[in-house]
Amino acid sequence: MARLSRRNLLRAGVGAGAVAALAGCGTGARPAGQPPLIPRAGPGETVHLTYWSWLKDLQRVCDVWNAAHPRVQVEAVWSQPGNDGGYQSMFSALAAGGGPDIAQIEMRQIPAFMLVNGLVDLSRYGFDRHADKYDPTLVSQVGFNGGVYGAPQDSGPCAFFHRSDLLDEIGAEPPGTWQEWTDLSAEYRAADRYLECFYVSDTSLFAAIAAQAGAAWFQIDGDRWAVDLTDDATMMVAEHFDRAIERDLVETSLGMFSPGWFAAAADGRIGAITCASWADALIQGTGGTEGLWRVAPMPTWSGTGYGSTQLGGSTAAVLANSAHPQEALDFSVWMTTDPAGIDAMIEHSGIGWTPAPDHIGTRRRQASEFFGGQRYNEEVFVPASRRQNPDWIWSPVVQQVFDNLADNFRRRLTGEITLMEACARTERDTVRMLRDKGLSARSL
Amino acid sequence: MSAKDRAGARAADPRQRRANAGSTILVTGILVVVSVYFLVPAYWIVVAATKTTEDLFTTNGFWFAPTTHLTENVTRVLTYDDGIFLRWFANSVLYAGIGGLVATLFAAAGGYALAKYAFRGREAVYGLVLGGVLVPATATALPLFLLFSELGLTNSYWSVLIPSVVSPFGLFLCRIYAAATVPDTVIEAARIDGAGEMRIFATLGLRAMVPAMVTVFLFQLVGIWNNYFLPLIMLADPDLYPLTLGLNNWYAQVERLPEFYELTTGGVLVSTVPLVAAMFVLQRFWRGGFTEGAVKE
Repeated sequence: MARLSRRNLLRAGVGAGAVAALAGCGTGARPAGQPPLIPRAGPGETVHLTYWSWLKDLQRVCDVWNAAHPRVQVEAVWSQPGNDGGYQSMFSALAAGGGPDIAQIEMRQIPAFMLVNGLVDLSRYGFDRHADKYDPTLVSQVGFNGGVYGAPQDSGPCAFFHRSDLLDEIGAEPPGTWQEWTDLSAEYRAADRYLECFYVSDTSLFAAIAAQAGAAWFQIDGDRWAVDLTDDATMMVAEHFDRAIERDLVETSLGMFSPGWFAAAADGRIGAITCASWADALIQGTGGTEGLWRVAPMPTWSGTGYGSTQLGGSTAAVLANSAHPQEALDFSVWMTTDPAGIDAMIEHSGIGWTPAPDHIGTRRRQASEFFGGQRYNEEVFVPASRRQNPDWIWSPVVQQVFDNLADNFRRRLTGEITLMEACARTERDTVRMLRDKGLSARSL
Repeated sequence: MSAKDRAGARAADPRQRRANAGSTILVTGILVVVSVYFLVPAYWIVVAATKTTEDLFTTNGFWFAPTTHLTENVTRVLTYDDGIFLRWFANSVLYAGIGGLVATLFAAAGGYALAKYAFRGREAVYGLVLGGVLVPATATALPLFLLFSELGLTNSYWSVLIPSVVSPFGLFLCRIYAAATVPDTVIEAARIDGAGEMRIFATLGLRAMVPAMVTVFLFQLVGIWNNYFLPLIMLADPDLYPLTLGLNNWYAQVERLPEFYELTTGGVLVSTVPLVAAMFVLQRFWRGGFTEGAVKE
């Protein structure tokens, strides 16, 4: 669990004003420090909780809980998706002293909400008793300063989705290493195809692959943030894709799961995608390819790094103005770890990979016809979820970093700079962004 | 040929005739390009709304797929989640309809008053309101939210309706129009005949200002119909959402559930129908207004 010193937390209190101002409001900064504990509601009292989330049909999941817990009734409110206004609504509501009891917040956004003192430290309400139900790498991503600021709700272990028919045409196997991936890409190019795309405008996959190689872009060093986008691991990944772009081994003009991508995947111009477990539902939208896709483990960096990585992932976080944080935690833990909650989340809301290693979901144990009868969840994603980089954490400026990196990556396409230089530039800008929020930060 | 002859008959000077023909071609060309630019997305939506998600990506975007699914898609749009789309639709009609009407009435009354009554500070009031045109609605959404939050009005119909009934641009337009089309002499005559100020405004002022009011109403209607940020900040309950927020929620699902493409494209198609209808119905008044002004001078 990452440590953030008391002094830094106070600084975070100063930074809260900056974030609130960014959110467009002048108020909202509350003094740092521990608010009093709110006890569980009395036995005669019925508690009503609201949960803001952009997952579809979440009310049906809540209904399963509500039927079994008449004293704690949860209402799901369908909010706008996080970066499309959902977070804006939450920041505004927090600034006005309101907001829901529980909110869906992506793992990578947890530190940004901590900066405005928007989250309840769940460890004060007994989260630690439930910690062993969760994948430890996920708990470490929501843990700061000895506290826990959200119950992991889903994640996205990564694997190599590919068209097996195209692979069979050239008699090849899925690549075990990124070196083999390069060789295979060259073979695909000889057949006038691309194996994969490189997504310049969505750099989260690049960050995930760097994490697989062992990078830790954000670190906490005493009372300051340390930023490192130029370590050996990141440079190795950047150089790998620099060469791939140079040799025209990757398609760079398509967005991940954009209409153009689907069209290319449907007619075989693209043969594979390294992506998270939740991509399975999307790939099934590729027209006329039923039974052709398979899932293999992600290629690895020979001799270094980890077996897989994570892309995406969200939490059920208890917001600071909740009148019933204890009950909110009870519900969140049930929803994310109880088999009934998990199965309901998969069936109604299409949730990503479950954070509780003991139950991956009944439906996910079944063979998939679209993927040629493969039981890929147990075969590929269960091992992938255990082969993760435990040192990766997020900072309060993740979205800005991704956008900044995307701006710099675009310059790679015009030949101005390399991906390696782009990473170095973004590292410098990241330090500045953190300082602009009133935090102390340095490059590593 | 005959068109050319007629043009020739009208323009006696051949040089002027050539210049006229040139500028006609140029202007028509620009208008064609502009209308293509605006109509292509509308055409695309019509085509896309007839397709399944699979066809959407595997067939030509500007032509229909072999099988048409328009009825299925629209039926799904209208029935999904117990008809939540109809609720959003009704909300949008309510916000845009009532908001547009009240805003037009306020703008007309304010513009008329500023044009026809001389009082101390008139120009100051006018300048202040005009300054409001320069402040984008997005910039006022958050302060409004904090204000409404104090009043306990957030997450209600009022929180979207009240800010929508204010239109500084409408007031500006109505003042100019009232000054030009409502003659002081007529107002004087009405006063001498014993009509009260309210009656003069209602029977003379409002009638003369109809073309301006139609313009204000259309602007306000389209503005509220397309408004995203204000309802986003104010509303939490999906039952109060206008179409913009609801459709965005659907579109957000495609990241994990691609079948929502069908719902989104179908929903967008249905949601444009009232605006198209409003334009067709109201443009008659609009055109009438311009010619009316032209004849008068």
